[in-house]
Amino acid sequence: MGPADIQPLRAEALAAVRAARDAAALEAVRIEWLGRKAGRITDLMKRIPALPPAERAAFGQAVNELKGAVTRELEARKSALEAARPPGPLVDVTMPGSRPSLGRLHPVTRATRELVEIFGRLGFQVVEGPEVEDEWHNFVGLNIPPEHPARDPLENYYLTDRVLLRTQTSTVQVRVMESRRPPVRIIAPGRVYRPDTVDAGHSNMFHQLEGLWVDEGVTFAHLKGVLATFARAFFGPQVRTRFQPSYFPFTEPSAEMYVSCLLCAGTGIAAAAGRSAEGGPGGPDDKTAAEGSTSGVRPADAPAPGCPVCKRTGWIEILGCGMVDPNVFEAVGYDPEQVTGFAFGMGIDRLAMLKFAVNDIRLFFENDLRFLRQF
Amino acid sequence: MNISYLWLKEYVPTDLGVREAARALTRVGLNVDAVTDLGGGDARLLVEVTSNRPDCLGHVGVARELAAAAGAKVRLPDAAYPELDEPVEKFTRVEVAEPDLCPLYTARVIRGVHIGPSPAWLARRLEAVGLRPVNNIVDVTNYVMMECGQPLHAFDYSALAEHRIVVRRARPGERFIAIDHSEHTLAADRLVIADARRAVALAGVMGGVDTEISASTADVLLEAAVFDPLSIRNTARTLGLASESSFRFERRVDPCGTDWASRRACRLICQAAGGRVARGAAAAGKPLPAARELALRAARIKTLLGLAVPPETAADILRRLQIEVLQASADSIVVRIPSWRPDLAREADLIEEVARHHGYEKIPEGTHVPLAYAPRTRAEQVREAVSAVLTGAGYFEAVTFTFTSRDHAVRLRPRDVTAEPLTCRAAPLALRESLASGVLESLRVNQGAGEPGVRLFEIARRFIPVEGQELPREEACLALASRDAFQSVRGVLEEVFRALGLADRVRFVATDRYPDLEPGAAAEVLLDGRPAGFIGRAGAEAAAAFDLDEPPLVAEVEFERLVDAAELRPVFKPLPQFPSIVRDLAIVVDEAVAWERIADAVAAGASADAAAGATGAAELESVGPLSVYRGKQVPEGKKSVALRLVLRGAAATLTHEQADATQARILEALRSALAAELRQ
Repeated sequence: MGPADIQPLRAEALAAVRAARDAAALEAVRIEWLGRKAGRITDLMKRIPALPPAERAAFGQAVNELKGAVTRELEARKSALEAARPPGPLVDVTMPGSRPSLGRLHPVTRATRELVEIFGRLGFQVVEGPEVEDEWHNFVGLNIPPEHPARDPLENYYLTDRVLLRTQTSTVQVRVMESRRPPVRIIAPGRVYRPDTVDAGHSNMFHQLEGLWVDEGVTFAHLKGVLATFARAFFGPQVRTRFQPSYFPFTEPSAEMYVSCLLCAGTGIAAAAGRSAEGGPGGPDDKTAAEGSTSGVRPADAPAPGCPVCKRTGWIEILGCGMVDPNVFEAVGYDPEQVTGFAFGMGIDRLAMLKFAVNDIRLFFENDLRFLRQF
Repeated sequence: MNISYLWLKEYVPTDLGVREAARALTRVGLNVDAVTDLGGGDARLLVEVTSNRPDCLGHVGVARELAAAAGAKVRLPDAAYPELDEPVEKFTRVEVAEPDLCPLYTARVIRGVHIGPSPAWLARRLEAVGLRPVNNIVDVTNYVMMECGQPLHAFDYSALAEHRIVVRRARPGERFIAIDHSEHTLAADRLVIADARRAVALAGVMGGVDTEISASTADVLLEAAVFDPLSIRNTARTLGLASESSFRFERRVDPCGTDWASRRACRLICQAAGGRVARGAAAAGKPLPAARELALRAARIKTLLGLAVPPETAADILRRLQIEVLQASADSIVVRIPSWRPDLAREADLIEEVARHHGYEKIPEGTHVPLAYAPRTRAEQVREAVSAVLTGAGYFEAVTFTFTSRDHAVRLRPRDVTAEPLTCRAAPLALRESLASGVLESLRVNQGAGEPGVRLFEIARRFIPVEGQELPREEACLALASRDAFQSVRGVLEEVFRALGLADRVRFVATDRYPDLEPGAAAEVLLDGRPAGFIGRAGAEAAAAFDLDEPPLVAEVEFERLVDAAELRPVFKPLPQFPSIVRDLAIVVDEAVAWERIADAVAAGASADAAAGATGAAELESVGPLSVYRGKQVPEGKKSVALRLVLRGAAATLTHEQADATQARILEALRSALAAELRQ
């Protein structure tokens, strides 16, 4: 047997390698040819020492070349098979990802930002004012006389005889008008404080957003236009608004703005379970839902069972507003014959409750992570 | 205010059903919160009466609104009765010692009444509005109050010493037992109704038990009066005796309606309890206020409402509200204000009446809003930038209470802030002097909820009282709290400063200024060299005060300082043109040597190199710590600090030879400043 006998073996071995269809077949081919005990090439190698010295070199070289060629072909085939048919998925895509640990903004901040953005586009600039106020800015400048029920010491957190935690962000109106000439177009979000009995609907600290627009020619029609636009921007284009006469010492005429109920779409009829708004905004005061014999005023076409969010009325009160009272203008040195304006105030927490279907205002101030991470 | 539908209809001839009536009232501002069916065709309307409308604290007032809304006329009930020939002066005398607190007091005397249960119609009416019938006399006083809003009080005439009335302030230490049997020692400024000897009623708030109507009462003295709202409120609040009566006096009753209410009650008492009324009324106080006149300019309606309401329409609305129109032209309307409408004092008030009854829905939605430039304020921009960094770093935003216990309110303030925190007078609440106390309280909530690893931040105010100033200094702050390591929290703060372009203007300096921070694990945060906050591990005692299992890391930075200093507009610096050379070294220094000193020495060495003037010298781009090692091969009391230098040529590519030279100078500086040795 000489080098010439090697050539056909080479062709046969390489063909066998190329014919292997999978890793097991390839391994079988490897063992047949290169197996340590009985591989056909291994056998050839074993024969080399027995050959006559003159043939050894040539034969040995030929066998080594054969071994090299087969080994390379085996490697190449192995790679090709692996590339073509991976043993399993490279990644388990159904496995949850490793998420970065991110925090969230507080829902009241989310609501505030949205309000600020909406009113910002309407030209209202954000201003701030102190949370500890004097009676002038909290009451007198706002045309709230000493005998007004709002000045009852039990309704306020007084710190001294004349200083208290502000009960409304309307204080900022007075501060702004005292320091600027018209035109004024501002909003003032912030914290306010009232010693209410704390329950699902009341907290003794909460947030309000006050708005004020004073200029020549500002009318109640502007008030309606701006606030209805706001309602559609905040709650959605389908929302309808209604303005109902009301009373605030610092506006005249005054109104409350209602929006068509977000849960029952203004029908007053209980919607199918979905959003967990049961007992939600307005819920804590909702005696009507508990007492079978009572019902709110509602459109004639709205039969029971009633919607729990709007107390069957189809409407939710969202904010108080009105034309700035002439006494307020006089208190800050504006001439009510020269300028007119409107002001409005809304509870941010309550809007956030409506928007996010939160049913207990106290959750906002506990800062329980199980709550915060939902926003 | 509870309104009975059938009662209301007695004054308004209308065929409006309960629902229609409720909707009509709601539309003009008397919001009907609830309607309760009472059976027998009646229903109870819970009407929300705003504090400017005391006239609507009676059925007649609500009837006026309903009549105006429905275009009907109000029918006032009859207040006539047969009088005795004997004048009231024969039986009683009224003296008002405090006319400012009691501008009007009237008394009538009814003789020979028979006390008993009220007739069924009367009892039913009271029950319909949620009042419990007592006896025919008391029930009539309540009925008339619910009818016209004027509270009345009936005394047992025979129990009044000398049968006369004195309206005066309480005498020091004067005792009084109310109808509800509560006993009070009266402060000297309380207004009381007294007889010749003693207080027999807390004026406008509650009667006394000694003179109340009893089964044996034969003669009645009927009080109808007007009291000062503030005086009534103070008495009712201080003594905890708020009543239907005090509620109405606090909101002002109609002084011109007081006598009518008295007569109306006499008529009903005669019907319900028999008896005969002495002629006339004993009265004292001030003259009744004159009727006011007010003008409304037609053009002003459009100015305020953005809708022109024709003057004749406006005048018609005012007439329907029983406001007498004295004069009406195309330009203006002059009216006389009824005595029961104290809320109508200015032109704007009349415009509101017109708008209310014309209908707010008729006012168009004006959408022509002139452009105005309303950029986000610096505070808003900084707040958003800070919040973005912190939420990205895993911190949740918290909103915590501004007020807390006195102990928590003074936690985490610096040693040198010693002002006693502001406290609420009527509640055990103090305004916090550091913001961090709030987030620590919230850490405890989460520890209880099984989330001890929570990271929280808040941006809100702390309140520092200022000597000699009425209002405190309100300082907006950023507070952080977590269970992370000092370096992690410091890193987050550094990112906050970096986001505001302040990375190079901040230093952290070890401090012992904060008693609630662990000594040796606390730093003052200096912005532009001035203290702007702190970061540190809470001390064990402070952690225990917040019920925390482990002392958390806590930080507070003055937000206003960030707003003032922030560079919100990044300015581009050209990218480097030449590659850098990185050199990592390990040096051995004393334990006490702080990183800042190492960094300073490196910088000094690099600038010495630059000063040496070698052309193309290496510039030190940055130096930072890689690791700190203590142990084998490092002598006791020393530490090995590995650091990385990044060197770059300013004008040309740096050669390794140049870098070697710079590195040598830096090592030399480290050696001379800190006795640092290169670790082999």
